[in-house]
Amino acid sequence: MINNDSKKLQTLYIAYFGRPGDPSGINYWLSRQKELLSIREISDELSRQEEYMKFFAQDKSLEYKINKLYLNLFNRKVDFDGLNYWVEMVDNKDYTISDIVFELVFTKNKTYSIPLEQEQKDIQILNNKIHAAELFTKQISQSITLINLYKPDSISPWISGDSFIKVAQFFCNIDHEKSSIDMVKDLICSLSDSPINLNEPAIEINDISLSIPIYQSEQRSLTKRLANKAINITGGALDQSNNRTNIIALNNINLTIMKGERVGLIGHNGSGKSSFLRLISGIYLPTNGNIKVLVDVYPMLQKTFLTSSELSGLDACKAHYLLNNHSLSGFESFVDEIIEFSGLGSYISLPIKTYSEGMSARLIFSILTSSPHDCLAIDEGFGTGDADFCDRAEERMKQFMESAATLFLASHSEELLKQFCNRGVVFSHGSIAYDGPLDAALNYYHTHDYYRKNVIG
Amino acid sequence: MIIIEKMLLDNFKFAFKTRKAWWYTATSRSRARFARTTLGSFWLGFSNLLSIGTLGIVYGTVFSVQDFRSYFIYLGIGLVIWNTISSSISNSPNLFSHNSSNIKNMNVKPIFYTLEEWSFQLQTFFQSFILVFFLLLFLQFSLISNLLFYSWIPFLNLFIFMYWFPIIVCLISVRFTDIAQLVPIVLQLVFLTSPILYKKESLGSLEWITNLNFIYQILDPIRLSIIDGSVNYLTSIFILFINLIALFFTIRLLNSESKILPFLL
Repeated sequence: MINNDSKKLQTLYIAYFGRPGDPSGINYWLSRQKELLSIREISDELSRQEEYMKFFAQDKSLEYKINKLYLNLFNRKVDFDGLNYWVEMVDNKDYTISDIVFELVFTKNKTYSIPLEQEQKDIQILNNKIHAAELFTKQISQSITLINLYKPDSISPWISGDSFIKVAQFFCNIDHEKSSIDMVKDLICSLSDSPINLNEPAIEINDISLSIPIYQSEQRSLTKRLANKAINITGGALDQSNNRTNIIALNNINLTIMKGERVGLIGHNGSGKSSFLRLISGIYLPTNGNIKVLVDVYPMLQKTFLTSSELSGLDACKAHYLLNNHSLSGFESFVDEIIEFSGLGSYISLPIKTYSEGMSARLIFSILTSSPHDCLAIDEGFGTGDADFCDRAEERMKQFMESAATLFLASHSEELLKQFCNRGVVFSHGSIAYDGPLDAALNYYHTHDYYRKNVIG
Repeated sequence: MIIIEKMLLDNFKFAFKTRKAWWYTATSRSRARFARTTLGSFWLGFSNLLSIGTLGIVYGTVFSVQDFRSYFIYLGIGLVIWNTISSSISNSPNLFSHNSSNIKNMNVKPIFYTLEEWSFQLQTFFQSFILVFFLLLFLQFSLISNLLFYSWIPFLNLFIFMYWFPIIVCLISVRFTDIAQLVPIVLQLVFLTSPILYKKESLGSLEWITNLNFIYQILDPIRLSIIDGSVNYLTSIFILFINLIALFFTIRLLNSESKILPFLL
């Protein structure tokens, strides 16, 4: 009845749990299939999972369990002949629930007869459920935020939680009518207390690579180049192309970030985090591949003023304000707030070159964090200035990052990442080594394997 | 073709949207330059007047000029325009390296810095030109009517040239670091071979070299239109056409070089 591998897995999830598979579950079983685990063995393993045992099987009669399977798959209780047949199989041939499920959905020739009309109804309902499950899992897979919405409250001990219950209820009601994508989206939206954007990716990256050319000094001297050519008139042509060195800063990056996601970038020094931030900010353009940036990314990578250090702090504020707002309306309150927060007072009118390093850091920090942005790309190196300023700056930075809808934060600080991010992307030598929920990404980063490959060398 | 149109449109949109920001940063630079002087930006005009006065007397004597009044007007206008062109070109090799930190860390298009530099040079030009021109009016009052009626296209050519040519120099200098040292030498040679201190006729049989001197081709029509009220519209429109084509290719080149710019700085 069912052919495709992922569809088979969805069928098993529907049969046992009455819900579609979560992306990590489906991926796990697909990978096990590659290790030659058969669908029958997977069915067997699922029947022993705590989710099934605790809620559908433990202390329940065989009739209850069979009825539950039928309800999950076909929205009806088992018919009289069917029940008799399965009971007989369990009694005489040591059938387990797993065998019943397998025979019920994967065997082409029915071993007991049901009216043709009923069989067709069953097939239609099951196909509709599988279709909805595929749509649901595909939609959820697009974003870690959504993946996080669809997970149990606890794994050990198993507590399904509201989202699994809501989705299972939705699947209970699927009958002869095919679920549309909009119905599935509505279901996903209903899992979150706050509004979420299902169809709005912030950034889409396909097969991106970035090479950073390193030019030798000879290549950057026109006179030396000409001289080399002139001197080399009598000899054969020299291949100078080898003089050029390229650093592969990013390689084969594929990523979709949905609006509202908060992504922590993790990796060793030189792994590609900062290059990635510059790429999504539009500072670097990719050497190969496509990148679609559908939000205004605001980079906070280093403390630099737009204006020359010959100009005053006030000029720097004004230039920055004009660049972002294109007019000076509201500038007075903007600058008042900056003066107050940075504590520069009348120093704001003096040239920046007369400031101490701490004063410059205070001013640029105050300017850059003065207004909220849709999407931030922050590098950990973006510090907050001197110690006196640190506490206030930390609080402001926290508010600033919380106010951004979409966030990219490159950091080695687990505490910082856990505070602001829900998705973790681990970089290794310019490639994405892991992409998933932050905790899992941090676990991956701390595995000996990652350290052996990237840190110890 | 669609991609090129989109690129031009994107750059134009960005330039228009951020016009207040780049104009403001240029104005701030102009202000900061004379922040410690009471006369402020009038120093620009005075320094030009001082040059005109000194060079006028010396070279007027050297070239045995009969009519000093005409010579001062000729030299004054030529020198102010030359100083502007020369300053635009000589500042250009370091334009991106001065903004390297911003180019590497902020997502502001490089065209922003070119527009800022251009507006800074424009402001400098107006500050010096207005004062020099005002004093030259005492020598020949008809200059004002000539300026108002005949100088539009030659000035337009100057302003467009002041934008694209320094960018070309800048982009080449970013690639080849030794160009910056050659620029002042080349400019000095161009100045000495251009009829600015002397009349074109003084070149005698070498007069043809002015036809190859494209900076002179920009400068001379302005001077002629202001002094004599004569404009060769055919030549001026031809130069405008060349200027617009050069502007188009310069923006295209800037756009393509933007990809590699952060790595060259």
